[in-house]
Parts: sequence; structure tokens; C-alpha cells
Amino acid sequence: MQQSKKQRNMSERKRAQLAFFIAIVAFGLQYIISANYGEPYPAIKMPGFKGDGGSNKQSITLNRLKFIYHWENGDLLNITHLELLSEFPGSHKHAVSHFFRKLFFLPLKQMPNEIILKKNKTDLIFRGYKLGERRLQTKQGVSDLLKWLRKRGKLLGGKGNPIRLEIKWYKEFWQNKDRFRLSKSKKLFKKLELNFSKDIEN
Amino acid sequence: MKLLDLLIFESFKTKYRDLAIYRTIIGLFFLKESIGKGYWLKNVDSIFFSPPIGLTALFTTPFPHSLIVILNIVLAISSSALIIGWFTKANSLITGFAFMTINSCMYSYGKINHDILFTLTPIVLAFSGWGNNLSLDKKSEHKAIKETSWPIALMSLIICVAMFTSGWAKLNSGWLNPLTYSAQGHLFINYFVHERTTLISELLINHVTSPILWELIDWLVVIFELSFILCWFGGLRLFRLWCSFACFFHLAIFLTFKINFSANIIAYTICLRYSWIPFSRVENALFLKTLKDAKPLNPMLIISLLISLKLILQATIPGRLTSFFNIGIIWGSSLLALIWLCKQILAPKLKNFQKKYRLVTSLIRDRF
Repeated sequence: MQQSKKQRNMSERKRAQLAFFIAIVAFGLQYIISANYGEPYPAIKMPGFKGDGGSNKQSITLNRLKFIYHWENGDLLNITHLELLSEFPGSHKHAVSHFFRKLFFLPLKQMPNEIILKKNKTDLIFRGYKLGERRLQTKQGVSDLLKWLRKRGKLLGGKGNPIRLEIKWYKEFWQNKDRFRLSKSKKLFKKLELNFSKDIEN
Repeated sequence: MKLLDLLIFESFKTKYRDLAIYRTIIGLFFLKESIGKGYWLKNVDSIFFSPPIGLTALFTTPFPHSLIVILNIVLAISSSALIIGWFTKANSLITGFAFMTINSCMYSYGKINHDILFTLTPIVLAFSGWGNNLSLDKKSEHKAIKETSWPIALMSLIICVAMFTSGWAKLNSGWLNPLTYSAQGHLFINYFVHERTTLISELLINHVTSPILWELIDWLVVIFELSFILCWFGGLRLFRLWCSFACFFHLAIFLTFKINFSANIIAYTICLRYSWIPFSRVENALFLKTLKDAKPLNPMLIISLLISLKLILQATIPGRLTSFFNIGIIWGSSLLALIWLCKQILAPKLKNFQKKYRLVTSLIRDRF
């Protein structure tokens, strides 16, 4: 009787050791994955609020996107990314808005038509990894995003298909000048004009 | 090795009835989250599907909406079963994994909400024997599993590591640089870009611009988050103290950044003592005693009732009230932590006072 109790305790101990071993391996694994591929899910992690929150040498820089839709009859619709991505809940909107920022830096003329998969194991197993972002490196992906932007403009404006979209990227600088007073300045950082009928086809 | 054994098997021992109440509470929260979780995904275009490494990255298209609905139903059933403690071990695992799968779908658009502690709790505690009390499993011996404290130690370690990772990321990204005021920077981003405005944040932006104060906040945050890993070695008592500080920390985050970490707080309550709750009354209130000789149909009946109640509440209570409920958790936990801390500080003094009072009264009684 006592021996069976002892055996049971031993198996309990082994189970606990295994659980802790798995947890420690998981901590290590997630660290490696995070360093190479960004934060995985699930991961035992809390938000780092990385960087310095945009502050540098006592100034804080904020990025803002403005979307200005144009219609043939001269009508305009001026919205922020929060309104554009209203179908996403709360904080997801800001994460998705990175898609539009990427549009500013795309080498449109040298883009392939489809995603070129690398031959490494990660690409073969995790075929969907950052797929949306990788699609943006292709002509087809950009065209799909433009189609979506046109569809959104049509829906939000309620005036039929818009012909043109201007995306303005502003940088706002907040400075702690004399320690107790903050001053704000705003600068147009980049501007992108998208002609829906022309750009979607190209 | 002996020290580790002591930590894993002894330092986190708790009353298993406390753990049973915790199971009921966490079950209620999972039930609250079910049916409706991730339904917004059906309105979202698949061009934004950009999952991180994980389950959804194995696929090139988002999961169909019907699967999300099925997972929600599974979550509702398993969390209800968790509340009443029916096939607790299996249902704990199902609840955790169903919730995690829905989250995987939600987070495959670039944003990861950090509610992992809440998600992992039922998975880890499934092996603790938290279904042995205040449950239907209590009545059937074959369903009850051996009570053990290592899952509590493991869950506490997970919480500590999670907090540590946050501090580590801050440490490596310039939070301690005296030229940058990271907390202030994040306050600006949340206020002006995410439009998370609160009365406190407005006050801080307009009136608190002292660089020294902001730098001090940066340092305190990093030190607090990093120190979490050390508190694990102090056992349940020290962990409880750190969790109570964390409640204030999350309240401060909520008041300044309007970011709600109520899911974390639910995970922290693993270390709470529930002995102040009259157990037998709770048991009676949940009709569990009448279910002593429960037939197989009865648990299903209770589960259906619980889900129906959840659906009725969901339909009648406006969304705003549920967010008020989450805010209530943040405030309530801080209040509880404050009461507990006061009790810890004042308890020895109160005992001393009581002793002196008794001595004086006995002396007076003897004289007259």
C-alpha cells in the first residue's frame, strides 16, 4: 500500500518535472521565434511597449495618416485610419494601418506578380506567415489593396466609386521645450496619390 | 534540487476549496467571453490576413466564420461545465484550447492582445484537482483527480515570466535612457493617435511635464516588471504581494493609457484566499447539494440553463455595461489589494491592541 503511494508520488513528481521542462523549453523557443520572426501566438509574453514611445532627445514623434477620397463631381471625403478601418475592433486598427504606410515605400515597377516562396522550412510549414504583408510585395497584392480602398470609399462616401485617393502621412512633433511647456508642430512627411482606374490595372 | 522541489510542491500550496471557487469564477469569465467572440472577423477582408508564427500561419486563408461559431459554442459548453465542475479536467483543457484557437484567428491580422495568462490558466490548472470541490465531480470518485500544488507553482511562474518579458523588452529598448521619457511618449501615442483619452491622461499631458518625474516613472516600471521573476522564489505569499502591486499598476495603466488588463487580473486571483466566502451557502446557492445523485441529464440541463442565461444577459445588457464590468474588475481588484495590504500592515498592530485591550478590561474587572 505504502509502496503504491510512493510510486504514485514519483509519477506525480515526473509529471510536474515534465510540465516545468515543457514550460522552460517554450520560454526559450518563443524567445528565438520572437527574435527571428516577430512575436508568435501563443507566447508567454506581455506587451513590451517597446522603443521609447516615439520620444527622442526630449521630443516625441507621432505618425498620422489621412485619407482623402475624390469623386468625379468634385466631392471629397477626408477620414483617418480609425474611420477607414471601422470594421476592425479598437487597437487592431492601428496594427492594420501599417499596410497603408507600406504603400509609400513599395518599388512598384520591380514587383513580381506572385509571392516567391523561399525554400526554407519556415516558409514551407507556416505558409500563411505574414501573408498579407508579403502579398504587398507583389503587383497582385497591391492591386487587391487598391480595390479594397476603392470599395471602402464607395461604402463610406455613399456616392459611387471614387476616382482618386490621396494618402497623407503627417509627422507630429511634441517638444518639451522649457521643461513645463509642450509645443506641437506638424509636418507633411509623405504624400501618395492613387488613381483608381489607372493604378488598379497597372 | 531540494529547494526546487520545495518551491514546486510546497511553496504554492493553497486550500483546494479556494481553488474550486477560483475555478467557478474563471469559468464564469470564459462563459461571458463566449458566443460572440471573434464574430467581427466575418466582416474583415482577407487581404489583411497576416498571421504571426502559430496555428493560423499553417493556413493561407482565414478560418471560415462557421468554425468560429462552432468554437464559440464549444467554449460556452465547456466553460459552463467548468463552472459546475463536471468532467473538470477535460473541460478545463477544452475551454483553454477553444479560447486560444479563437484568439489565434483574431490575432491573425497583425495585432496580438496579451490575454495569454487568462487563456493558459484552465490548461495549467486542469491538473491541479481544482474540480474536486464545489463540483459534480466530487460525487463521482473516478472523475476526481489527485490534488497537487505544482500547477499553481507553474501558473505563477508563467505569470512572473510574462511580466519579466515586458520589463526585459523595456530594458532593451531605451526605457532607462535618461534622454528619453518612454512612459510619456506612450501616453502621447495613446492620447493623440489611438484617441484613448481619460481625465487623468489629460491632466498628465497638460500639467506633468517634469522630465525627472517621467524618467522616474520609466525606471519604476522597468524595476517592478523585472522583479516579478524574483518574487516567484518567495512562494505564494510574496507572489500575492506582487500581484497586489500589479493590480495598482494595471489601474494606473487604465487611468492613463485606457488599456484594460482585466484578463490579467483574473489570472492573478489564483493567489487569492476565498475563505471569507461562506462555502456551504455558495454550494447551496448553486443547487449542487440537490444534485448529489445527479443523473447524466442534469448537468446538461444546468449547462443549457447557464448558456441561456448568458444569451439573455448578452441580448439585454448593452455593450457599454460589459465594458463597465471590465472597468469594475480593475477598480475592484485595486480596492481588494488595498484592503489586503492594509490588513497585512495593520494586523500585527491590531493584535497588539487587542491584547492590551483585553489586559486592561481584565484588570478593570478584577478591581471592581
